[in-house]
Amino acid sequence: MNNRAFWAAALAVALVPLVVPNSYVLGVLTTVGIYCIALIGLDLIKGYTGLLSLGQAGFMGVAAYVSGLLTTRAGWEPLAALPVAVGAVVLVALVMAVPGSRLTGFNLALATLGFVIITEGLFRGLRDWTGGATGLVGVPNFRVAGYVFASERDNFWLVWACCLVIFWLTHNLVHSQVGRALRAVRQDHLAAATMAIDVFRYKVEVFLIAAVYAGVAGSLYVHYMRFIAPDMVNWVVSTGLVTMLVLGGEGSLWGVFLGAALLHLLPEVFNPLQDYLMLLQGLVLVALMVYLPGGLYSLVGSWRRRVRRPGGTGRADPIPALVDKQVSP
Amino acid sequence: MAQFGQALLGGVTTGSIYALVGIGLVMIFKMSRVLNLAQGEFLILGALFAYTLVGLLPLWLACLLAVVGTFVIGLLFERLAVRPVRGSTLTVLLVITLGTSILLKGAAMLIWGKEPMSLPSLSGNNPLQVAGLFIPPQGLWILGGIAVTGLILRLFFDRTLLGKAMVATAENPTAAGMTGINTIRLGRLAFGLSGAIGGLAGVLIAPLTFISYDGGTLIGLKGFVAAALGGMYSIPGAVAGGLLLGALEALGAGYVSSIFKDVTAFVVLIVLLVVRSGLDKRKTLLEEGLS
Repeated sequence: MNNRAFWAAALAVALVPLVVPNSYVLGVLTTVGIYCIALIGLDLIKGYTGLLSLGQAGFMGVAAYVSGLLTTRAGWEPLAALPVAVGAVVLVALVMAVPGSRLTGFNLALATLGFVIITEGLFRGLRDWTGGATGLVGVPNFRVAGYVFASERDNFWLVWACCLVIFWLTHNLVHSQVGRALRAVRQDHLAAATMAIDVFRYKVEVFLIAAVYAGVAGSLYVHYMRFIAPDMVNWVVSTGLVTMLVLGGEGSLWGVFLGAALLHLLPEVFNPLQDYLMLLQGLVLVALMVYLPGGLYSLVGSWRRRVRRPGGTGRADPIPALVDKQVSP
Repeated sequence: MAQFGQALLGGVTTGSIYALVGIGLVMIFKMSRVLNLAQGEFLILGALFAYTLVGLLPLWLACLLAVVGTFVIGLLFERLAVRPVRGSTLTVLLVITLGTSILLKGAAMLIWGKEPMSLPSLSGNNPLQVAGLFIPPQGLWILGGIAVTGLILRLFFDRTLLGKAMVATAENPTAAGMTGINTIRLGRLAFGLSGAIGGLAGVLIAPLTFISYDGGTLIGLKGFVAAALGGMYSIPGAVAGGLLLGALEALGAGYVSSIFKDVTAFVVLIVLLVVRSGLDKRKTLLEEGLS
């Protein structure tokens, strides 16, 4: 990948907590980082493979509750609970993904939306375990070898370090043969299959990877917030994630940060917006799909092209990531 | 036994509402191949329109105007959001309807607030007692509503030129277009009718429950389960699916645990998607049984 951009991002992550003294702002940014982890997974499945999954919040929820329960009830270390929580998410995702080729557009959207509603119902219903609507409280902060990530600053570094690592891994993945195969699947199932791409296998793998990312995000979320409630991982969050992805620009990975930051920070900065958030989200989704399917990132792309090539049209390509890279034969 | 009958009756009443939502979904799906994630919002809007109008007008007129209102919403939805992306991929269309659903929720929240509301019953609240079962009068209105809707739709699609043109468009848009049918306008009409049927479901169910701005997703999804049980392409299938789902839910809540009432529908959905290859097959078990 573009090493300079990556190291610049890493440097920014290292410096931000030192420059931003306000712990409230840091906390908001940490939450953005957690969403970004889940969003990178969603970009992989929706942006690159072209499947709409509304299940990311459900996977976050499963991991958050497993992680929370293991640390509060069984006294596990968060570091041990995280992989188990992610493992549980993988199991659930496998159950949803593998039996037959269920991963076509309609079915996946409906099954994942149903899944989010089931998990929310269970988190609410299994009161003895999950604490019902009030949520699971008293979850410990993340700790490694006795060092507790208690301050906002520590959590910021922890979450964004995880986010960067996942971003780097995913960036390499999408610029490898796998990434090219995924784009081929997105463009045309049949054509991809005739080029010996195992469409079903790739879809399942991508679905699992996205679930793993959501699991990591969920586990980090519960240890950062120190509690988890059904409202924090319901379908509203899932649709919010889709909005962030579409707003930022899907199929580019970088757009994820734009979308998450904008949609999460705006209402924080401009408080009266809170009431209009839903209306705004809906408008953004519909308007972008109609007028700017590449999201905000496509504007960045067209701006860069215009700068490089004076006299270029500067028109936004629908999906820059698909246009820039060529598919090797 | 009386308890069983009572639970079943309640289930069938709620199931009729799922059936109405399912009919609306099937109509749009057949005409435009769009899976409308905003279908539940039609129901909510119908109830909320009637809630506002009932202060000014007699109840029946308020309900009628509310249905007209959701008809218009359906038309606008097609014109403003679906029409511009016609022919796009399935995922784009899904995101469009998802966005519309969030948009309508947000608008409803701003206009009507977050408090749940209810409507007065069309004919009082004194339950009728038939064979040991208590039947709320509104339940009869709902059962009548689904029966009349089914009958009207059957006559419309079988006997009128407009209805036959819609059937032709659903079967083969290209061929229908060649015979001079304006398939685009009929597609929009399907959204309007679907909105009206959703609105009807809303004004019928509102007296029996509380309606709030964000209730559309849950009811919309249950409509999907109803439609999917019926094969997604069949209106009688959606009705049967809705009634079956309502009965399953009520019996599940009565005999297992009421906490998991809403979970039942989605367990049915997931099982359906896993056992069958889901919505893309034209026939499902239920539909095969019906035809």
